[in-house]
Amino acid sequence: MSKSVEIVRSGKLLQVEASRQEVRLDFGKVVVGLLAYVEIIAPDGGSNTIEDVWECKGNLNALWLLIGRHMTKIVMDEDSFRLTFEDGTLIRCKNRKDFDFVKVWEPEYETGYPTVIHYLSQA
Amino acid sequence: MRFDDLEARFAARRAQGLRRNLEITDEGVLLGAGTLLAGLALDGEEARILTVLSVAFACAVSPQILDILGKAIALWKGGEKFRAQLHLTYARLPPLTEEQAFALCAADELLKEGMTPRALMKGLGLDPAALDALEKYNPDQPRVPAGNGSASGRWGSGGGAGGAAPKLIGHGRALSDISVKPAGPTVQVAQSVTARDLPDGTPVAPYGERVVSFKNLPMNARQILQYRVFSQDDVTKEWRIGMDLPMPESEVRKTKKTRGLGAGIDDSGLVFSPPGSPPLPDENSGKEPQSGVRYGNWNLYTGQPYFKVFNDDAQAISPITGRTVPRKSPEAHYPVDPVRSWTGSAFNALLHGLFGGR
Repeated sequence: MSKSVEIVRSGKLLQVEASRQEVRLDFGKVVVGLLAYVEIIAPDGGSNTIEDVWECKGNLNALWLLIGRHMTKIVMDEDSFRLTFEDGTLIRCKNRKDFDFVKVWEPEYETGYPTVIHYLSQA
Repeated sequence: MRFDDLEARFAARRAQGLRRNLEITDEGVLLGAGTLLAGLALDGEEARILTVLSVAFACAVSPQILDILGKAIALWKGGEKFRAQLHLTYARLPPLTEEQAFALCAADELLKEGMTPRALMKGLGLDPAALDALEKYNPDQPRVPAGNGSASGRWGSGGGAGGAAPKLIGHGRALSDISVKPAGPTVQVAQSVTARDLPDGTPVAPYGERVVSFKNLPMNARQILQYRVFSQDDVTKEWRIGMDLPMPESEVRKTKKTRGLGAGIDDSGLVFSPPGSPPLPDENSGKEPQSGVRYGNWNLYTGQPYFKVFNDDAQAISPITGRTVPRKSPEAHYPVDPVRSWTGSAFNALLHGLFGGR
Protein backbone atom coordinates (compact mmCIF):
# COMPACT_ATOMS: atom_id res chain seq x y z
CA MET A 1 0.00 0.00 0.00
CA SER A 2 1.71 3.13 -1.17
CA LYS A 3 -0.60 5.73 0.36
CA SER A 4 -3.08 6.08 3.14
CA VAL A 5 -6.64 4.83 2.68
CA GLU A 6 -9.37 6.38 4.75
CA ILE A 7 -12.82 4.89 5.10
CA VAL A 8 -15.36 7.07 6.84
CA ARG A 9 -18.16 4.97 8.26
CA SER A 10 -20.30 5.28 11.30
CA GLY A 11 -21.51 2.20 13.01
CA LYS A 12 -22.10 0.86 16.47
CA LEU A 13 -19.94 -2.04 17.56
CA LEU A 14 -22.55 -4.76 17.87
CA GLN A 15 -20.42 -7.71 18.82
CA VAL A 16 -16.94 -9.07 19.12
CA GLU A 17 -16.09 -12.65 18.30
CA ALA A 18 -12.73 -14.18 18.95
CA SER A 19 -11.26 -17.30 17.43
CA ARG A 20 -7.81 -18.52 16.59
CA GLN A 21 -8.16 -17.14 13.10
CA GLU A 22 -9.15 -13.63 14.00
CA VAL A 23 -10.87 -11.20 16.26
CA ARG A 24 -13.94 -10.02 14.40
CA LEU A 25 -15.59 -6.70 15.13
CA ASP A 26 -19.13 -6.43 13.86
CA PHE A 27 -20.35 -2.90 13.15
CA GLY A 28 -23.46 -4.01 11.26
CA LYS A 29 -22.71 -2.66 7.79
CA VAL A 30 -18.98 -3.08 8.19
CA VAL A 31 -17.15 -6.02 9.71
CA VAL A 32 -13.49 -5.92 10.59
CA GLY A 33 -11.35 -9.00 11.06
CA LEU A 34 -8.10 -8.50 12.95
CA LEU A 35 -5.52 -11.21 12.52
CA ALA A 36 -2.42 -9.88 14.21
CA TYR A 37 -1.03 -7.73 17.02
CA VAL A 38 -3.82 -5.43 18.21
CA GLU A 39 -3.59 -2.40 20.49
CA ILE A 40 -6.66 -0.84 22.07
CA ILE A 41 -5.73 2.67 23.14
CA ALA A 42 -8.12 4.54 25.40
CA PRO A 43 -8.60 8.33 25.13
CA ASP A 44 -6.51 8.76 28.28
CA GLY A 45 -3.61 6.92 26.67
CA GLY A 46 -4.02 3.67 28.56
CA SER A 47 -3.66 0.64 26.34
CA ASN A 48 -4.41 -3.03 26.20
CA THR A 49 -2.92 -5.44 23.73
CA ILE A 50 -3.79 -8.68 22.03
CA GLU A 51 -0.32 -9.95 21.32
CA ASP A 52 -1.17 -12.77 18.99
CA VAL A 53 -4.55 -13.83 17.73
CA TRP A 54 -3.18 -17.04 16.26
CA GLU A 55 -1.67 -18.10 19.55
CA CYS A 56 -4.57 -16.74 21.61
CA LYS A 57 -2.36 -14.46 23.68
CA GLY A 58 -3.72 -11.25 25.05
CA ASN A 59 -6.51 -9.50 26.85
CA LEU A 60 -9.86 -9.09 25.18
CA ASN A 61 -11.51 -7.17 27.99
CA ALA A 62 -10.89 -3.78 26.44
CA LEU A 63 -12.70 -4.92 23.30
CA TRP A 64 -15.79 -6.11 25.13
CA LEU A 65 -16.04 -2.69 26.75
CA LEU A 66 -16.28 -1.07 23.32
CA ILE A 67 -19.51 -2.86 22.46
CA GLY A 68 -22.21 -0.28 21.87
CA ARG A 69 -19.81 2.52 20.94
CA HIS A 70 -19.67 4.08 17.50
CA MET A 71 -16.70 4.08 15.18
CA THR A 72 -16.04 7.10 13.05
CA LYS A 73 -13.36 6.10 10.58
CA ILE A 74 -10.80 3.56 9.50
CA VAL A 75 -7.38 4.58 8.25
CA MET A 76 -4.91 2.19 6.68
CA ASP A 77 -1.42 2.85 5.51
CA GLU A 78 1.84 1.05 5.18
CA ASP A 79 2.52 1.54 8.86
CA SER A 80 -0.70 0.40 10.46
CA PHE A 81 -4.45 -0.10 10.47
CA ARG A 82 -6.30 2.32 12.75
CA LEU A 83 -9.94 2.29 13.71
CA THR A 84 -11.21 5.29 15.64
CA PHE A 85 -14.26 5.48 17.90
CA GLU A 86 -16.22 8.64 18.54
CA ASP A 87 -14.92 8.87 22.09
CA GLY A 88 -11.35 8.83 20.83
CA THR A 89 -10.59 5.20 21.55
CA LEU A 90 -8.26 3.80 18.92
CA ILE A 91 -7.75 0.24 17.76
CA ARG A 92 -4.40 -0.08 16.05
CA CYS A 93 -2.75 -2.99 14.31
CA LYS A 94 0.81 -2.42 13.31
CA ASN A 95 1.66 -3.74 9.90
CA ARG A 96 4.55 -6.06 10.41
CA LYS A 97 4.55 -6.74 6.68
CA ASP A 98 4.67 -10.39 7.46
CA PHE A 99 1.25 -11.98 7.55
CA ASP A 100 -2.06 -10.69 6.35
CA PHE A 101 -3.31 -8.85 9.37
CA VAL A 102 -6.69 -7.22 8.78
CA LYS A 103 -9.76 -7.60 6.62
CA VAL A 104 -12.64 -5.18 6.20
CA TRP A 105 -15.89 -6.44 4.74
CA GLU A 106 -18.91 -4.56 3.45
CA PRO A 107 -22.05 -5.71 1.64
CA GLU A 108 -21.62 -5.85 -2.11
CA TYR A 109 -23.73 -3.14 -3.70
CA GLU A 110 -25.90 -5.35 -5.94
CA THR A 111 -26.18 -8.63 -4.07
CA GLY A 112 -25.82 -7.59 -0.48
CA TYR A 113 -23.35 -10.39 0.11
CA PRO A 114 -20.16 -9.59 1.97
CA THR A 115 -17.15 -8.59 -0.01
CA VAL A 116 -13.69 -7.76 1.22
CA ILE A 117 -13.10 -4.10 0.61
CA HIS A 118 -9.63 -4.01 2.06
CA TYR A 119 -7.28 -6.81 2.86
CA LEU A 120 -3.89 -5.77 4.08
CA SER A 121 -0.96 -8.02 3.61
CA GLN A 122 2.63 -7.57 2.68
CA ALA A 123 3.41 -4.12 1.48
CA MET B 1 -32.83 -44.49 -6.76
CA ARG B 2 -30.08 -46.33 -8.61
CA PHE B 3 -26.49 -45.24 -8.36
CA ASP B 4 -26.50 -44.38 -12.05
CA ASP B 5 -29.48 -42.14 -11.51
CA LEU B 6 -27.70 -40.42 -8.68
CA GLU B 7 -24.69 -39.75 -10.87
CA ALA B 8 -26.90 -38.32 -13.59
CA ARG B 9 -28.76 -36.15 -11.13
CA PHE B 10 -25.53 -34.88 -9.67
CA ALA B 11 -24.15 -34.11 -13.12
CA ALA B 12 -27.24 -32.11 -13.97
CA ARG B 13 -27.04 -30.14 -10.74
CA ARG B 14 -23.32 -29.72 -11.09
CA ALA B 15 -23.85 -28.10 -14.46
CA GLN B 16 -25.74 -25.33 -12.65
CA GLY B 17 -22.64 -24.55 -10.63
CA LEU B 18 -20.85 -25.73 -7.53
CA ARG B 19 -20.95 -23.89 -4.24
CA ARG B 20 -17.67 -24.68 -2.57
CA ASN B 21 -18.65 -22.69 0.51
CA LEU B 22 -21.86 -22.30 2.46
CA GLU B 23 -24.26 -19.80 0.94
CA ILE B 24 -27.46 -18.56 2.46
CA THR B 25 -30.40 -17.66 0.26
CA ASP B 26 -34.15 -17.25 0.65
CA GLU B 27 -34.36 -21.01 0.22
CA GLY B 28 -31.95 -21.79 3.02
CA VAL B 29 -28.28 -22.69 3.34
CA LEU B 30 -26.90 -24.27 0.19
CA LEU B 31 -23.70 -26.16 -0.38
CA GLY B 32 -22.20 -28.12 -3.23
CA ALA B 33 -24.26 -28.90 -6.30
CA GLY B 34 -27.44 -27.23 -5.14
CA THR B 35 -27.78 -29.35 -2.02
CA LEU B 36 -30.04 -27.67 0.49
CA LEU B 37 -28.10 -28.19 3.67
CA ALA B 38 -30.64 -26.44 5.84
CA GLY B 39 -33.91 -24.70 5.24
CA LEU B 40 -34.74 -21.54 7.08
CA ALA B 41 -35.62 -23.59 10.15
CA LEU B 42 -33.37 -26.14 11.77
CA ASP B 43 -35.89 -27.84 14.01
CA GLY B 44 -35.68 -31.59 13.58
CA GLU B 45 -33.05 -31.28 10.87
CA GLU B 46 -30.01 -31.39 13.12
CA ALA B 47 -29.18 -35.07 12.68
CA ARG B 48 -29.61 -34.86 8.93
CA ILE B 49 -27.37 -31.82 8.65
CA LEU B 50 -24.61 -33.37 10.72
CA THR B 51 -24.90 -36.63 8.80
CA VAL B 52 -24.66 -35.17 5.32
CA LEU B 53 -21.75 -32.99 6.33
CA SER B 54 -20.02 -35.90 8.02
CA VAL B 55 -20.47 -38.00 4.90
CA ALA B 56 -19.24 -35.19 2.67
CA PHE B 57 -16.13 -34.63 4.74
CA ALA B 58 -15.79 -38.28 5.75
CA CYS B 59 -15.61 -37.64 9.47
CA ALA B 60 -17.68 -36.45 12.39
CA VAL B 61 -18.44 -32.74 12.13
CA SER B 62 -18.86 -30.82 15.35
CA PRO B 63 -22.44 -29.97 16.39
CA GLN B 64 -21.17 -26.44 16.91
CA ILE B 65 -21.95 -25.90 13.27
CA LEU B 66 -25.63 -26.04 14.14
CA ASP B 67 -25.22 -22.94 16.28
CA ILE B 68 -23.56 -21.19 13.40
CA LEU B 69 -26.24 -22.17 10.91
CA GLY B 70 -28.96 -21.24 13.37
CA LYS B 71 -27.55 -17.81 13.98
CA ALA B 72 -26.96 -17.16 10.30
CA ILE B 73 -30.55 -18.13 9.54
CA ALA B 74 -31.81 -15.85 12.31
CA LEU B 75 -29.80 -12.98 10.88
CA TRP B 76 -31.13 -13.69 7.40
CA LYS B 77 -34.70 -13.74 8.62
CA GLY B 78 -34.05 -10.43 10.34
CA GLY B 79 -33.06 -8.95 7.00
CA GLU B 80 -29.36 -8.87 7.77
CA LYS B 81 -28.19 -10.58 4.63
CA PHE B 82 -24.62 -9.34 4.87
CA ARG B 83 -24.06 -10.45 8.44
CA ALA B 84 -25.85 -13.75 7.85
CA GLN B 85 -23.53 -14.72 5.04
CA LEU B 86 -20.48 -13.52 6.89
CA HIS B 87 -21.49 -15.49 9.97
CA LEU B 88 -21.37 -18.69 7.94
CA THR B 89 -17.62 -18.27 7.64
CA TYR B 90 -17.40 -19.19 11.30
CA ALA B 91 -18.21 -22.73 10.25
CA ARG B 92 -14.67 -22.82 8.85
CA LEU B 93 -15.47 -25.62 6.49
CA PRO B 94 -12.80 -26.04 3.86
CA PRO B 95 -13.86 -25.37 0.27
CA LEU B 96 -15.82 -28.34 -0.99
CA THR B 97 -14.24 -30.55 -3.63
CA GLU B 98 -16.17 -32.17 -6.49
CA GLU B 99 -15.94 -35.50 -4.73
CA GLN B 100 -17.22 -34.08 -1.48
CA ALA B 101 -20.06 -32.36 -3.29
CA PHE B 102 -21.04 -35.69 -4.77
CA ALA B 103 -20.91 -37.33 -1.35
CA LEU B 104 -23.06 -34.56 0.08
CA CYS B 105 -25.60 -35.00 -2.68
CA ALA B 106 -25.62 -38.79 -2.28
CA ALA B 107 -26.08 -38.60 1.48
CA ASP B 108 -28.93 -36.18 1.05
CA GLU B 109 -30.67 -38.46 -1.44
CA LEU B 110 -30.25 -41.54 0.74
CA LEU B 111 -31.78 -39.75 3.72
CA LYS B 112 -34.64 -38.49 1.60
CA GLU B 113 -35.32 -42.06 0.63
CA GLY B 114 -35.77 -42.99 4.24
CA MET B 115 -32.41 -44.22 5.42
CA THR B 116 -31.74 -43.14 8.99
CA PRO B 117 -28.75 -40.92 9.71
CA ARG B 118 -27.17 -43.53 11.96
CA ALA B 119 -27.62 -46.30 9.39
CA LEU B 120 -26.02 -44.13 6.73
CA MET B 121 -23.03 -43.31 8.90
CA LYS B 122 -22.54 -46.93 9.81
CA GLY B 123 -23.04 -48.07 6.25
CA LEU B 124 -20.20 -45.84 5.15
CA GLY B 125 -17.99 -46.96 7.96
CA LEU B 126 -18.11 -43.59 9.69
CA ASP B 127 -17.95 -43.15 13.40
CA PRO B 128 -21.39 -41.85 14.45
CA ALA B 129 -19.63 -39.50 16.86
CA ALA B 130 -21.44 -36.54 15.38
CA LEU B 131 -24.79 -38.06 16.22
CA ASP B 132 -23.64 -39.13 19.66
CA ALA B 133 -22.36 -35.64 20.24
CA LEU B 134 -25.67 -34.22 19.07
CA GLU B 135 -27.55 -36.27 21.63
CA LYS B 136 -25.28 -34.94 24.38
CA TYR B 137 -25.12 -31.50 22.87
CA ASN B 138 -26.38 -28.59 24.86
CA PRO B 139 -26.55 -25.48 22.71
CA ASP B 140 -26.68 -23.33 25.82
CA GLN B 141 -23.30 -24.54 27.02
CA PRO B 142 -20.77 -21.70 26.92
CA ARG B 143 -18.01 -22.28 24.40
CA VAL B 144 -16.02 -19.11 23.92
CA PRO B 145 -15.02 -16.36 26.23
CA ALA B 146 -17.58 -13.61 25.80
CA GLY B 147 -19.49 -10.91 27.49
CA ASN B 148 -18.57 -8.21 29.89
CA GLY B 149 -18.07 -10.23 33.02
CA SER B 150 -14.86 -9.83 34.92
CA ALA B 151 -14.10 -13.52 34.58
CA SER B 152 -14.27 -13.45 30.83
CA GLY B 153 -12.30 -11.75 28.14
CA ARG B 154 -9.00 -13.55 28.33
CA TRP B 155 -8.25 -16.56 26.30
CA GLY B 156 -7.70 -19.84 28.11
CA SER B 157 -8.86 -18.38 31.37
CA GLY B 158 -10.20 -21.52 32.96
CA GLY B 159 -13.13 -23.85 32.92
CA GLY B 160 -15.85 -21.32 33.57
CA ALA B 161 -19.33 -22.69 33.35
CA GLY B 162 -18.58 -24.84 30.36
CA GLY B 163 -17.41 -27.91 32.21
CA ALA B 164 -14.37 -29.38 33.87
CA ALA B 165 -10.96 -28.58 32.48
CA PRO B 166 -9.07 -31.52 31.03
CA LYS B 167 -5.75 -32.55 32.41
CA LEU B 168 -2.83 -31.42 30.31
CA ILE B 169 0.37 -33.38 30.26
CA GLY B 170 3.40 -32.27 28.36
CA HIS B 171 6.93 -33.39 27.83
CA GLY B 172 10.03 -31.72 29.03
CA ARG B 173 8.86 -28.85 31.22
CA ALA B 174 6.01 -27.29 33.10
CA LEU B 175 3.33 -25.84 30.91
CA SER B 176 1.53 -22.62 31.39
CA ASP B 177 -1.02 -20.51 29.59
CA ILE B 178 -1.63 -22.94 26.81
CA SER B 179 -4.87 -22.09 25.14
CA VAL B 180 -6.93 -24.76 23.51
CA LYS B 181 -9.99 -23.78 21.57
CA PRO B 182 -13.23 -25.30 22.79
CA ALA B 183 -14.01 -28.26 20.60
CA GLY B 184 -17.22 -30.19 20.27
CA PRO B 185 -19.37 -30.78 23.30
CA THR B 186 -16.40 -30.87 25.62
CA VAL B 187 -14.88 -27.56 26.57
CA GLN B 188 -11.12 -27.77 26.66
CA VAL B 189 -9.19 -25.04 28.36
CA ALA B 190 -5.68 -24.40 29.48
CA GLN B 191 -4.20 -24.97 32.87
CA SER B 192 -0.76 -25.31 34.29
CA VAL B 193 0.54 -28.74 35.16
CA THR B 194 3.83 -30.33 35.95
CA ALA B 195 5.21 -32.26 33.04
CA ARG B 196 5.36 -36.02 33.09
CA ASP B 197 5.33 -38.74 30.51
CA LEU B 198 2.40 -40.85 29.45
CA PRO B 199 2.95 -44.60 29.70
CA ASP B 200 3.51 -46.56 26.53
CA GLY B 201 0.34 -47.78 24.88
CA THR B 202 -2.00 -45.04 26.11
CA PRO B 203 -4.61 -44.69 23.34
CA VAL B 204 -4.98 -41.16 21.94
CA ALA B 205 -8.25 -39.92 20.47
CA PRO B 206 -9.76 -39.65 17.97
CA TYR B 207 -8.13 -42.58 16.27
CA GLY B 208 -7.05 -44.64 19.26
CA GLU B 209 -3.45 -44.68 18.15
CA ARG B 210 -1.26 -45.79 21.01
CA VAL B 211 1.29 -43.35 22.29
CA VAL B 212 4.96 -44.16 22.62
CA SER B 213 6.47 -42.60 25.71
CA PHE B 214 9.18 -40.03 25.26
CA LYS B 215 11.99 -42.27 26.44
CA ASN B 216 11.05 -44.88 23.85
CA LEU B 217 10.72 -42.52 20.87
CA PRO B 218 13.23 -42.90 18.05
CA MET B 219 16.25 -40.73 18.72
CA ASN B 220 15.83 -38.53 15.67
CA ALA B 221 12.27 -37.70 16.68
CA ARG B 222 12.82 -36.99 20.35
CA GLN B 223 14.02 -33.46 20.14
CA ILE B 224 11.00 -32.33 18.23
CA LEU B 225 8.43 -34.45 19.97
CA GLN B 226 9.41 -33.33 23.44
CA TYR B 227 6.90 -30.57 22.82
CA ARG B 228 3.96 -32.92 22.62
CA VAL B 229 1.12 -32.07 24.95
CA PHE B 230 -1.59 -34.54 25.86
CA SER B 231 -4.90 -33.47 27.30
CA GLN B 232 -7.38 -35.75 28.98
CA ASP B 233 -11.07 -35.07 28.76
CA ASP B 234 -12.55 -35.32 32.21
CA VAL B 235 -15.85 -36.57 30.86
CA THR B 236 -14.82 -39.11 28.25
CA LYS B 237 -11.39 -39.87 29.79
CA GLU B 238 -9.94 -39.79 26.30
CA TRP B 239 -6.43 -38.51 25.73
CA ARG B 240 -5.81 -36.17 22.85
CA ILE B 241 -2.62 -34.76 21.46
CA GLY B 242 -1.66 -31.20 20.83
CA MET B 243 1.49 -29.15 20.63
CA ASP B 244 2.80 -26.71 23.17
CA LEU B 245 2.74 -23.17 21.78
CA PRO B 246 4.95 -21.29 21.61
CA MET B 247 8.08 -23.36 21.85
CA PRO B 248 10.69 -21.42 23.79
CA GLU B 249 13.88 -20.55 22.01
CA SER B 250 12.56 -22.03 18.82
CA GLU B 251 12.88 -20.50 15.40
CA VAL B 252 9.59 -19.54 13.86
CA ARG B 253 9.11 -19.07 10.16
CA LYS B 254 6.08 -18.61 7.99
CA THR B 255 5.65 -21.14 5.25
CA LYS B 256 2.97 -19.44 3.21
CA LYS B 257 1.82 -15.91 2.82
CA THR B 258 -1.75 -16.51 3.82
CA ARG B 259 -3.08 -17.90 7.02
CA GLY B 260 -6.33 -17.56 8.83
CA LEU B 261 -9.57 -17.62 6.94
CA GLY B 262 -9.23 -19.36 3.62
CA ALA B 263 -6.09 -21.22 4.53
CA GLY B 264 -6.40 -24.86 3.65
CA ILE B 265 -5.09 -27.93 5.37
CA ASP B 266 -1.81 -27.72 3.51
CA ASP B 267 -1.50 -23.97 3.77
CA SER B 268 0.14 -24.18 7.13
CA GLY B 269 1.18 -20.78 8.29
CA LEU B 270 4.03 -21.40 10.68
CA VAL B 271 6.85 -23.80 11.13
CA PHE B 272 8.58 -24.15 14.47
CA SER B 273 12.05 -25.50 14.68
CA PRO B 274 12.69 -26.49 18.28
CA PRO B 275 16.11 -26.19 19.87
CA GLY B 276 18.41 -28.87 18.59
CA SER B 277 16.74 -29.15 15.21
CA PRO B 278 18.59 -28.28 12.04
CA PRO B 279 18.35 -24.55 11.30
CA LEU B 280 15.59 -23.34 9.06
CA PRO B 281 16.60 -22.31 5.55
CA ASP B 282 17.26 -18.64 4.94
CA GLU B 283 14.03 -16.72 4.56
CA ASN B 284 14.97 -15.46 1.11
CA SER B 285 16.25 -18.78 -0.14
CA GLY B 286 12.86 -19.79 -1.51
CA LYS B 287 13.15 -23.13 0.23
CA GLU B 288 10.38 -24.42 2.43
CA PRO B 289 11.43 -25.33 5.98
CA GLN B 290 11.74 -29.06 6.41
CA SER B 291 12.34 -30.06 9.98
CA GLY B 292 10.27 -29.05 12.93
CA VAL B 293 6.57 -28.78 13.54
CA ARG B 294 4.33 -27.30 10.92
CA TYR B 295 0.95 -25.95 11.85
CA GLY B 296 -2.09 -25.91 9.66
CA ASN B 297 -5.43 -24.29 10.02
CA TRP B 298 -7.84 -25.17 12.80
CA ASN B 299 -9.69 -28.25 11.68
CA LEU B 300 -13.42 -28.39 12.23
CA TYR B 301 -13.50 -32.08 11.43
CA THR B 302 -11.63 -33.04 14.51
CA GLY B 303 -11.79 -29.91 16.60
CA GLN B 304 -7.99 -29.99 16.76
CA PRO B 305 -5.22 -28.03 15.13
CA TYR B 306 -3.73 -29.82 12.20
CA PHE B 307 -0.02 -30.21 12.26
CA LYS B 308 2.74 -32.13 10.60
CA VAL B 309 6.05 -33.02 12.19
CA PHE B 310 9.33 -33.62 10.44
CA ASN B 311 12.46 -35.13 11.90
CA ASP B 312 16.04 -33.98 11.46
CA ASP B 313 16.21 -35.82 8.16
CA ALA B 314 13.14 -33.97 6.87
CA GLN B 315 11.10 -37.15 7.01
CA ALA B 316 7.48 -36.91 8.12
CA ILE B 317 6.96 -38.55 11.50
CA SER B 318 3.94 -39.50 13.52
CA PRO B 319 3.74 -37.30 16.63
CA ILE B 320 2.27 -40.26 18.46
CA THR B 321 4.73 -43.00 17.72
CA GLY B 322 7.69 -40.99 16.46
CA ARG B 323 8.03 -43.44 13.59
CA THR B 324 8.60 -42.14 10.09
CA VAL B 325 5.60 -42.23 7.81
CA PRO B 326 5.29 -41.59 4.06
CA ARG B 327 5.15 -37.88 3.38
CA LYS B 328 1.92 -38.09 1.40
CA SER B 329 0.16 -40.54 3.70
CA PRO B 330 -2.75 -39.52 5.94
CA GLU B 331 -0.56 -40.25 8.94
CA ALA B 332 1.76 -37.44 7.90
CA HIS B 333 -0.84 -35.13 9.39
CA TYR B 334 -2.06 -35.24 12.93
CA PRO B 335 -4.87 -35.73 13.54
CA VAL B 336 -4.99 -37.98 10.51
CA ASP B 337 -6.38 -36.11 7.55
CA PRO B 338 -9.78 -37.66 6.97
CA VAL B 339 -9.97 -36.32 3.45
CA ARG B 340 -6.75 -37.99 2.43
CA SER B 341 -7.61 -41.18 4.23
CA TRP B 342 -10.83 -41.50 2.29
CA THR B 343 -10.17 -42.24 -1.33
CA GLY B 344 -12.71 -41.58 -4.01
CA SER B 345 -12.78 -45.15 -5.16
CA ALA B 346 -13.36 -46.52 -1.68
CA PHE B 347 -16.08 -44.00 -1.09
CA ASN B 348 -17.82 -44.76 -4.35
CA ALA B 349 -17.64 -48.47 -3.67
CA LEU B 350 -19.30 -48.04 -0.30
CA LEU B 351 -21.90 -45.64 -1.66
CA HIS B 352 -22.59 -47.92 -4.57
CA GLY B 353 -23.13 -50.72 -2.11
CA LEU B 354 -25.68 -48.70 -0.18
CA PHE B 355 -27.65 -47.90 -3.31
CA GLY B 356 -27.28 -51.36 -4.70
CA GLY B 357 -28.61 -52.97 -1.57
CA ARG B 358 -31.81 -50.99 -1.67
